[in-house]
Amino acid sequence: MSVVRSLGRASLPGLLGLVYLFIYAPLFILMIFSFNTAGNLAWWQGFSLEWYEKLLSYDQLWKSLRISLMVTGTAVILSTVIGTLTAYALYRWRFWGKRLFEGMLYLPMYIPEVVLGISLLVFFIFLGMPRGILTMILAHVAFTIPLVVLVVLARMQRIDWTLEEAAMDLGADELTTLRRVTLPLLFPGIMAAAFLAFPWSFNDFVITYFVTSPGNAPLPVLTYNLILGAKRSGAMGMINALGTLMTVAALLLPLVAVLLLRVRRFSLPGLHLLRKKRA
Amino acid sequence: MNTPSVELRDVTKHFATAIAVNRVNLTIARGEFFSFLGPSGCGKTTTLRMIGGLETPDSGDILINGERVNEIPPYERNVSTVFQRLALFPHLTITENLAFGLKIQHQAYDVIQEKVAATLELVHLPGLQDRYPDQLSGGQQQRVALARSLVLEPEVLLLDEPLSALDRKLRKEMQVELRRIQREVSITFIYVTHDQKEAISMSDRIAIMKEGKIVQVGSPREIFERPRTAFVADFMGASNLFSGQLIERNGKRYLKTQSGLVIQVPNSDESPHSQDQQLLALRPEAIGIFRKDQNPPTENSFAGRVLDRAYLGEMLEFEVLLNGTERVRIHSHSRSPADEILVDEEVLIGWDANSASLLREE
Repeated sequence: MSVVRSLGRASLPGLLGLVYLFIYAPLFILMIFSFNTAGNLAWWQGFSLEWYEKLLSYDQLWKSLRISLMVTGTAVILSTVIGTLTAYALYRWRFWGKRLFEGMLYLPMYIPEVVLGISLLVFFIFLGMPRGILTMILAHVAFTIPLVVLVVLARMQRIDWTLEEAAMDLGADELTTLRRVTLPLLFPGIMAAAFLAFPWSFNDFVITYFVTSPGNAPLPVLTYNLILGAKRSGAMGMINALGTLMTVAALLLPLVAVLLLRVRRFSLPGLHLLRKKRA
Repeated sequence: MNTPSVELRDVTKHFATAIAVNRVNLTIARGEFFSFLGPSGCGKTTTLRMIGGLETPDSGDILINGERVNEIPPYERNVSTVFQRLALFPHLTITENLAFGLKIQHQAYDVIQEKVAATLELVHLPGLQDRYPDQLSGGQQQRVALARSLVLEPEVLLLDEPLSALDRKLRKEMQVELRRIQREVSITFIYVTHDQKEAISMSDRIAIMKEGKIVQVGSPREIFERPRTAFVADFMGASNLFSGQLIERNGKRYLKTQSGLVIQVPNSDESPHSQDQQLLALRPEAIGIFRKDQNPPTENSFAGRVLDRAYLGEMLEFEVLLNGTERVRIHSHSRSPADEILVDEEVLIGWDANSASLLREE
């Protein structure tokens, strides 16, 4: 028994290392080869920033980035607002069919993205809407709302709602209570929801692919288009560079968020609740 | 004649199908420390919330300072509540918590600063202005909650079991503090509690509630010494009840129980309104217990056998069987001759007839 246990203990770091290797090795290979002179993954020819230069001077990249930011920015703001209101309604009120409604809200998270994508496409065609920025925004709002509701609801369950009564008792009417008490208390949850929804929306490829038009490719779709092109030309370098930049950006986002929260007296109400409690 | 601070007229409130508050009538004078006392679910908190405007009565009227306030929302009533869960705003500092109501009233900055400082002084909480509530101890949070309400100088302060989260020692301390503060500000305090000792030690008057109704209103002494119903008697700790019929002998009144005990009844002027079954309540500490060889000093004494004895720290609790059927609970000091009395011993017990009280039928 003890032999097994000590064996297990000794092998645990190794096992953990393997797991991390499995997760991060592909990313590291991609990053390393983005600096390769040769535009393929077969062998290492030498260090160069050639692919980054090419990528950054590629007009389509900047256009795609603009589209991605516009779609994600708008969609995240909209779904955060709608999701927060939905969560509030679900938490504070009782109404007929509430459970069914709540269940149906989370259902899209279990439906294959391809199915969601194709159904959205059919829906937009049915409505006669031309595919483009607007359809992308609508699609992104649709699939990020459940996430926002989940996160904000979790926060609401930890709030003492006597605080709203206390505010009214101290002279605040409904609107003032919402502004001065409810929203500041919900703020950490709302921010967390937005920070989660942002990469969901920004990184989405499958659904986006169905509801965009050829001229309006956001970054993930552009990446896919580049891969299709590289299959023919064999030039993977630009894709490696783009992949590296997107990974770094994805790592920076939560880092920036954490740093923002660390800044003392960063003047947003309720922010100190997010910070580590001082003893 | 002063207008009463708070007046309840036939106030009734239902929740779903259950009745929470049932035709409550009450007048609370200005500057009074008034307590609602009762077990959980008796309607005391609901009554308080209706005065505060957090619940609306189904029928009846609530008057504050002589004005009917039924339809007035909480934020326009000149009352303030200290909540059981305190409900301090966790995202605001202590100063900001106190200034919350004043800012809504658009008071000048200097005035707010001055009032906040003065109120923190009043509740003995200086030097913590810039902390957040979660950085304070339970007792300090308690004082902040109190200060946040007091700083608005309300007509009435409502307190909903505000001390229930504190440990015993701190609770005692805060009880004294609350009384001191109430005397200093002379605002009407309406206090809700299920702790009879707390209510007795703090209140000018107490209303005992049961199942949505007020069963007795009176000074702590009246309620403690002259409970009107078996419920009040039991709730105030007078756990010995004798039931029987009233008889008169030589100009004195006695209660004759079914087991044949003849107990002298206090000679009060209140005459019971029925001649049927009567209840007599007796506090455990009012009864003396003596060994057979000692001479019990009272005329109202009975022989019995000790069924059980328990050591409760500062006192002993005996259970004595009288006449083979009546069980009586007795409390006596641990450091008294009673300490030598053992289980199964034959004893004499007795009490001053005036320490018992004849109950009204419920």
